[in-house]
Amino acid sequence: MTKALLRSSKAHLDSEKVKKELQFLIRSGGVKTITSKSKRIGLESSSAYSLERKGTDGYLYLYDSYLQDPEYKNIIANIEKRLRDFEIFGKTIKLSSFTNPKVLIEDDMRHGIKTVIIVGNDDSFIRILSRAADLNVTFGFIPVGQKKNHFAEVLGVPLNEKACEVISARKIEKLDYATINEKNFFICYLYIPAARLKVQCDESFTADLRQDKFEIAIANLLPPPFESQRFQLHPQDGQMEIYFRPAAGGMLANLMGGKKKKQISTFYFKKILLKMEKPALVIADGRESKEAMITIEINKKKLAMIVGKERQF
Amino acid sequence: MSDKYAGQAGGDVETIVGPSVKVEGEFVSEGNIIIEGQVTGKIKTSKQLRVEEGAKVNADVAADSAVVSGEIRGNMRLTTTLELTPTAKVYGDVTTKTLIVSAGAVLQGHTIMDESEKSKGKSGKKSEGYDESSVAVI
Repeated sequence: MTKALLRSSKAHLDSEKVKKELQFLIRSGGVKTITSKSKRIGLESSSAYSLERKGTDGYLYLYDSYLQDPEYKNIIANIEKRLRDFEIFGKTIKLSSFTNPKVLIEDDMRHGIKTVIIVGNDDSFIRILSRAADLNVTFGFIPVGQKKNHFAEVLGVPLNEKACEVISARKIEKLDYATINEKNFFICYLYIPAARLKVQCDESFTADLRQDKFEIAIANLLPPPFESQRFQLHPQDGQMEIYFRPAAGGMLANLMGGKKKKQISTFYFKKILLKMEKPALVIADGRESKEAMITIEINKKKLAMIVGKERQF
Repeated sequence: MSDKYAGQAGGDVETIVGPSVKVEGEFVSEGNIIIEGQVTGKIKTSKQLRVEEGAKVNADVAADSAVVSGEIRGNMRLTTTLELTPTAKVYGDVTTKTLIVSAGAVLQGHTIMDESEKSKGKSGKKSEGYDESSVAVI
C-alpha cells in the first residue's frame, strides 16, 4: 500500500515537473516539444469525439436515414475508406426524419467542427441546409445513389465515393441563400404551377399578374423547369431571379394565345413579396404548401460550400 | 435564357417584362431590359433598353442605349444611341448622342443631340444608319 502510494505520488510529482517544463516551453515557444510531452503525460483532448483532422478543420458527416438500407452498405463502406485515405474522416451521425440538424451541428461546433458533410441525396441536402444554412461552418455534399441527385450535378460533385476527392480538394465557393417567410432558408428553387398574383420587388416596383394565371419559378441552384436548356445559374451574384410565364391553358387557349402568350418575364431581386389572389400550391426547395403570401429576402451572409470543378456556375 | 433575347441584347439579358405583365414603380437594373408589356413610373439601366412592338411605357427613361418598337410616353435620356423602328411612337423629350429613326416612326417632343458629350468620344457615329430613314420631329 505504502509502495503504491509512493509510486502514485512520484508519478504525480513527475507530471507536475513536466507541467512546469511545459509552461516554460510555452513561454519560449517550443510548441512541438509541448505536443509530444503533453501526449506522454496524457493531456490529450478530453473530447469523446476523437476527430481525425486535416489541417485544423474537424469534419462532421451527417448520413441520411435512407442510407441504412443494405443496398447502400458497400457504397458507404467505400466512401468511408476513401475519406480515411484522404485523412478527412470524422464524426458520423445517422439522421432520423425527426432530427433537427441545426441543433446537432451547433452542438458539434462547440467541439471544434468546422466542416459539415451531408451524405445523402437532394432531399437530405435541402432538409439540412433549409435549417442550418446560417451556421458558421463550411458545407460539403456526398451524393449517394442514382436517384434525386440533381444538386450534385450543379455543384460539380460526382456520385458516391468519387465525391470524396472533391471534399478533400476543399474548393469553397460562397453561395447566395435567402429566408422564406422569415422562417426557413431557401437555397435552391421555388415553383408555383399556377397563380394570379401581385409581385413587389425590392420595394421599388410592383408587377401585376392578375389578368392571367402564371407559372412562377425562382431560381438559385436549379434552373426554372420551363427554362432549363442553356440556362446559366447565378448563385453568387447577390440577387435571385424570378421567372413568370402564362400558365398552360387548354388547347383552345394555347391556339388563341399563340406564341406571344408563352413569353417569359424575368426580374432580379434581393427582396420579393408574392401576393396570390387565392392560396396557391407552392413548392419551395421540395416542400409543398398552400400559400397566399410569400416573402423571400436574400441573406447578406453567404453559404460556404465545397464544390467541384464541373460545377454549373 | 432564350436565344432570341441573347442575340438581341448582346447575350446579357437580365430583366424582361412579358406581354401580359404590368409593372409600376421605379424599374432599375444593372443589365439589359426588354419590355413587351406595360411599365409605368421610371426606367433606369446602365445598359440597353428594348421596347418591343405592342409594349406601352408610361415612364421617364434613362439608359445607355434604346431600341424602340413600341410606345413610350415620357422623357428619354440615352448615353449613346436611340433607335426608333418603323412601329415606334415616342411622346416626350429625347436627349441622346446618336438618333436613328426609321420611316414610319413617330417622335413628338424636343430632341437634344448632346454635342458636348459626343465631342469627347465617339464623334462621327451620327451618320450611321441614316441613309434609309426619315426623321420626324414635330
